Amino acid sequence: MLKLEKINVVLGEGSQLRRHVIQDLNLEVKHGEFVIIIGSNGAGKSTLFNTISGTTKLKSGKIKINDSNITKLPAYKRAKFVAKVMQNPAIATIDDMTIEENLSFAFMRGKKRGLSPHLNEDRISLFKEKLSLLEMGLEHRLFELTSSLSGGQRQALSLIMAILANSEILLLDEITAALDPKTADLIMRITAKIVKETKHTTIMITHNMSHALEYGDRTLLISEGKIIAEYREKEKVGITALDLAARFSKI
Amino acid sequence: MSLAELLIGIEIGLIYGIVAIGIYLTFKIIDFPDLTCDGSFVTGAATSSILIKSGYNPWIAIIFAALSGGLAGLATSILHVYGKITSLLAGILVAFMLYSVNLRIMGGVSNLPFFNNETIFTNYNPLFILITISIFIWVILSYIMNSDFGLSLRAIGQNKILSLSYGVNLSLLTITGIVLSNTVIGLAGGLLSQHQSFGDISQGIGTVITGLAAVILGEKILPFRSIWSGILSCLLGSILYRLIVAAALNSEWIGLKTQDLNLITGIMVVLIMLLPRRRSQENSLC
Repeated sequence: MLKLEKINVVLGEGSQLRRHVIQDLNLEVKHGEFVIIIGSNGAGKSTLFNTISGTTKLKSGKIKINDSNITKLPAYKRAKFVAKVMQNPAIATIDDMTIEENLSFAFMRGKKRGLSPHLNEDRISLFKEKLSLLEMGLEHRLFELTSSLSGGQRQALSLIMAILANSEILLLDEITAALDPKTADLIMRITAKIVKETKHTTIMITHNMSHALEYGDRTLLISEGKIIAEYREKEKVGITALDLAARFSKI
Repeated sequence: MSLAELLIGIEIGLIYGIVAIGIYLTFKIIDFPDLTCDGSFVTGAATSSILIKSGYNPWIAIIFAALSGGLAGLATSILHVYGKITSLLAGILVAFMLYSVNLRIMGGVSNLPFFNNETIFTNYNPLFILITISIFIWVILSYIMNSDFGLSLRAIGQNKILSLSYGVNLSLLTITGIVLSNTVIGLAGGLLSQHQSFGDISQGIGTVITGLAAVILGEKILPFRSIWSGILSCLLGSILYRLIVAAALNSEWIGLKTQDLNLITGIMVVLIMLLPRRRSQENSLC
């Protein structure tokens, strides 16, 4: 479970560009819940993710995971609890490493990275099993460089990398934004399937209104660092993507 | 070129090949352009020279040469990581300060000969010793780079944001990478001083460029992406570089002399770097 208690984030403190990006925001995401966040550019969505993953500092407030206060933990220690899939597939994996090396690197999230060889039979079996969830044939290409993969394949691989070490929270930052519509829909279907199977507590930012309505247990609308609307599963029934976009544009 | 000159060329090539491995670790693996090596190479040579001159076992001298190089790397990495000084400036600053430190180590003299003292090469064939040490370093470093720890070192060089999000302590890993690189370079400095039977304050001039030349040349010989071939290519590139330079300097018809060494090295690096670009430009015009 993730709990944000009255968090405030100020960027550019002490300069003329000072912005109060997140204001007294409270949010509780239950274990296994899938929450979608929508909002215009500059609304504070990505800052919220950076705050949860620890790359942006809080001005005030608390972040708790399963009642453990992680507010003061540096980003690299927080990675044990929080996994993030990035928007740009080009930087979501490590290009000059093979698929197996990327997965081995991801597998050691939150563990001590020692001098044992990264390649072993147990890991290969696990990686093949996880990659087969994607139904893209990547389990047969373990020793190919990730630079040889398409954008969609890389994004799917980065999703598997993120869930591999069983971190508590999964953050998906506009993971379909850089993909063509067909691939974006495919990646979303795979994401929903994996999130359901692994029961990860998941928060996803998207600009795709159809995805915001079709997926997730609830959808939050953020503006100026505050949650201004919430649509639960029942409330989403009957709303079209155009309706949601219209509400969105009124902000 | 005589057989003796060829063997000396290979021996020196192997020593600078170890330097090239150190440079490969920083420039290629962790993406940190480290210029400390011009200084840390001499620190290794100076430490080895003074210890041998003081009667210590030459192998002990080699170990301390490596450690002293590592300390120089530690200074650069701390300036960069905690002092927030850019990588290039931190390396230049430390290399600059090491000039004084190295003179201190050598007891205030710029040249410290020890022709009458025993070195690691005294009782064995130098080529055999150097090949053994090179293979040892190649195997050890390739093993480390293929471990979970090595993967995280390679990851920070490729994608720092992703590495951080996967729990890699960027500061610690950057420091480790730079220290490891300069330890290897310090060891090479110790080997050169014992091979030549003297330590000299100017032994490190141009180490970065000759090391880089070997790395780039090595990539052309072994254009494979595995770590095993990457590290081996540094050794092979360095040997080839030494042999090309020796052949050029020995060719009377070209008219080159020893003082032209830096010019030849620079031209060679420029040519190697420009040739593939030229080819790719031609391809892009097609």
